[in-house]
Amino acid sequence: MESRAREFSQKFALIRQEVGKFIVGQDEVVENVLIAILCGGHVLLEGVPGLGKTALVNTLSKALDLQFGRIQFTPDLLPSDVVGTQILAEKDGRRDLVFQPGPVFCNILLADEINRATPKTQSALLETMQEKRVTVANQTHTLDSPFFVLATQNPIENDGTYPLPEAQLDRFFFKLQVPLPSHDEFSEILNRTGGSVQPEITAVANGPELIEMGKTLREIPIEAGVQDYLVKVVRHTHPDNDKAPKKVKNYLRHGASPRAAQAILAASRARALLDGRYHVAREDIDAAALPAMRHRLILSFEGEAEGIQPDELILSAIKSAG
Amino acid sequence: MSDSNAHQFLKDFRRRWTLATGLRAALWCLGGAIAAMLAYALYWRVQGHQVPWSFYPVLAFWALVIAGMWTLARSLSRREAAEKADAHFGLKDGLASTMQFEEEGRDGEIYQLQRRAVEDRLQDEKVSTVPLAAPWKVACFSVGGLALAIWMATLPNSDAVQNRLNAEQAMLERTATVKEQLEEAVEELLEDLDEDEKAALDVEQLKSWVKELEETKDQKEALRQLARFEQKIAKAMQGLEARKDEETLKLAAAELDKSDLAAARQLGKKLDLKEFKAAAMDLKNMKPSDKDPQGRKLTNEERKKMLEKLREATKRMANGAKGRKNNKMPQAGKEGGKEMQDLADLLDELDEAAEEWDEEMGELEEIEGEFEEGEFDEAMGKFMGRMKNLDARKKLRGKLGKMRQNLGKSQGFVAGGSSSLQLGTGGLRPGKGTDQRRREGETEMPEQMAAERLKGQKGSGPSQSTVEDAESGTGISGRRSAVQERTFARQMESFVARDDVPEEMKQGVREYFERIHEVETGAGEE
Repeated sequence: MESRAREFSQKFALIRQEVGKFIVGQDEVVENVLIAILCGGHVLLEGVPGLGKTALVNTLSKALDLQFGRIQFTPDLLPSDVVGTQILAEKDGRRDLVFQPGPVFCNILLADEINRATPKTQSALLETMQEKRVTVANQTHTLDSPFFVLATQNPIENDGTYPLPEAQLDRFFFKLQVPLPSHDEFSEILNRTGGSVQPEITAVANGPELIEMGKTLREIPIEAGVQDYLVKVVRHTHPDNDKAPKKVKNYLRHGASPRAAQAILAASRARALLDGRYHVAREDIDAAALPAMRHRLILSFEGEAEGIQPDELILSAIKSAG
Repeated sequence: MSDSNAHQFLKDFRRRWTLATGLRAALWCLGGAIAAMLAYALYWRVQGHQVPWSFYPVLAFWALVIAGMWTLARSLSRREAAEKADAHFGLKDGLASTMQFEEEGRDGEIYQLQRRAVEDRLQDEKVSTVPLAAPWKVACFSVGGLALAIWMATLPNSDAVQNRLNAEQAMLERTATVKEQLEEAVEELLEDLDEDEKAALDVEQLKSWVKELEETKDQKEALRQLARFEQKIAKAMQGLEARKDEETLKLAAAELDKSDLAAARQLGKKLDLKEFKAAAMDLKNMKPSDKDPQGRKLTNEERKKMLEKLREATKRMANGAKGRKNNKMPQAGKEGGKEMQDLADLLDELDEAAEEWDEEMGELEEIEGEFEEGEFDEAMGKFMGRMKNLDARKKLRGKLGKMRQNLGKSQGFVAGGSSSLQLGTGGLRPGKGTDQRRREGETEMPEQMAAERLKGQKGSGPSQSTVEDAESGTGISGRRSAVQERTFARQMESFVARDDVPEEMKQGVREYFERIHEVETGAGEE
């Protein structure tokens, strides 16, 4: 176990290092994306255009030696454009309906601007994310493992978009907010991308290794008191809970689901291992709680009206649970 | 570090934590106690009192007890200690997890790794880094406050307070003296009572009244107690009143005074002077007997003459009492739980018995036989008993009156009117003397001293007598009481002389003034 843990840490560091060759800054985003991948989860990246969301996913796919697919979501995109369709193909003089796999048949799928597609198309993808298989014309096609979806969405320019329903948002392991780079990071971005030579990304890990890393982190134990804390944090996001903070009661309509608790626990285990520990600590939970819950909270009318950010409510829930 | 080192570390940490908590609690509690001491000291000093410093150690003791209890209440369980240690040393729930996994009996490679990692981490940590974190400001305040409180405790009472305390102590001593002397006075009074008086007085109640008196520092309370006692005595005296009987006897005396018989007039005089017992004996002596004082047997004739004298007395007494029969004034009270018979009826009964005896004697003269005197003796016995009772009541009233005077003196003593209290008759009571030594012979004085004694120093000493020249008409007359007395006498006489006032009321007024006169005379004699 000790060697596997060491390998885990080394491999993780290696991937980060490789990604870091192209992606400047965004350490937390990169780390969280990697954690989500190791935990077998999908990530929703939110940020204004030009922050490197797509570049990040591209770099990751190169560093991980995985098959990469990309779908640019538009309002006229059809579900069949995502999952694939049957086409009439001639083979040996016979015409037959043959399944043509869609872009989801890959290991890492970039669903760019997912909120621009119609709900019908969105749900086709989200079903695939959950089931990790596609059924077309009564034929089920299983996706390769590992399979990760990294979706992006733009928080501005909401005209003509279709916000993801809550039930579908719940299927994302993390929702990460990509921040603007700092001054130094800006300069570094220009330095790396403005020249004629582009950094070369090499693959440092493959699919089976990622699956093995995921198995390793699931062995990290959690102490009863810490687990109790985790449950409290999640339960305190429910406005009908007596011990929920006042803000939560005032501004939330629905709190996080048990799936959120599962995501937090898995991410906390990964964080513990990355920190060189063999047990989950409260601070791992605190760190994982924001990306794991921020897309799972449904604000009340008052919360929407006052522009309350879910992160604010999650922090108050963490405070009250402590 | 061995496996048990995590436990040892936790144990050390708990001890250190408890020490830190105890120290903080002790300092805070002592600080609080010293603040209380200062407030307490200030409270006394503001009033000018010396601070009763014995309260200080009590406060300090309780502060330490509370600190101890607080420390015990805040002592950490193993789990809490592990969590605190994790927080203090930044172990990120490492120690708590190790302990929990161990308690749950989890075993496996990952748990061993976890424990080893935590213990490796603990090697770099020292329990002594847990700060004792004494609240130094509180400690400084405590030291300064304690010094100030002790200094305040050394200051004496202010003059005003000291004087008040002295006065209270003096009052306590005075009330003790009063109680002691009143007890003695009551004892004397009780010793002085004869059987009849004891029967008329509730002795135990009188003793209990004295016992109820309490020594007190409060002058007003002491005066209240004495006033209550005096009220009780006055009520007891009122209970001993037998005005109706006395009035009846007064009328009987007046009737007897009209008699031609010297013995009857003598009897009337004694009744008038309220010598009830002696009068009763006189009446008894008037009863005819078989023999004269020389032992000679009396003839029926002689006895009849004696009986006639007796009849004269009883008849007049009964006649005199007739006017009072329906009077509603209070009579002698109860005897043996029964309402006493009306004295007028008793005199009637006595007269009837005498009359019957007289008639029987006339009949017996004819038959030359013996006659029965039992019925008369029975009536005479009742009369004698009544007279004794009246006599005892009269004496008791006088003695209780003295007791009231004693209470008055006591009140004066308590109120500061007199510097000493002497409730007894003065001098030592018989058998209570302590020193019978006398100087025998005469010690010769030195000649010079003798001369000085005889001559003195003429013109150099202060005068022992002063002459006061009062201005005519401006001074206060010393004869005011005498004038008042005469005024009262005049008022009484004019009231008694009025025709429109009923006889009963006149009699009451007369008795009232006579009683006042008696008390004043008694007080004057003493």
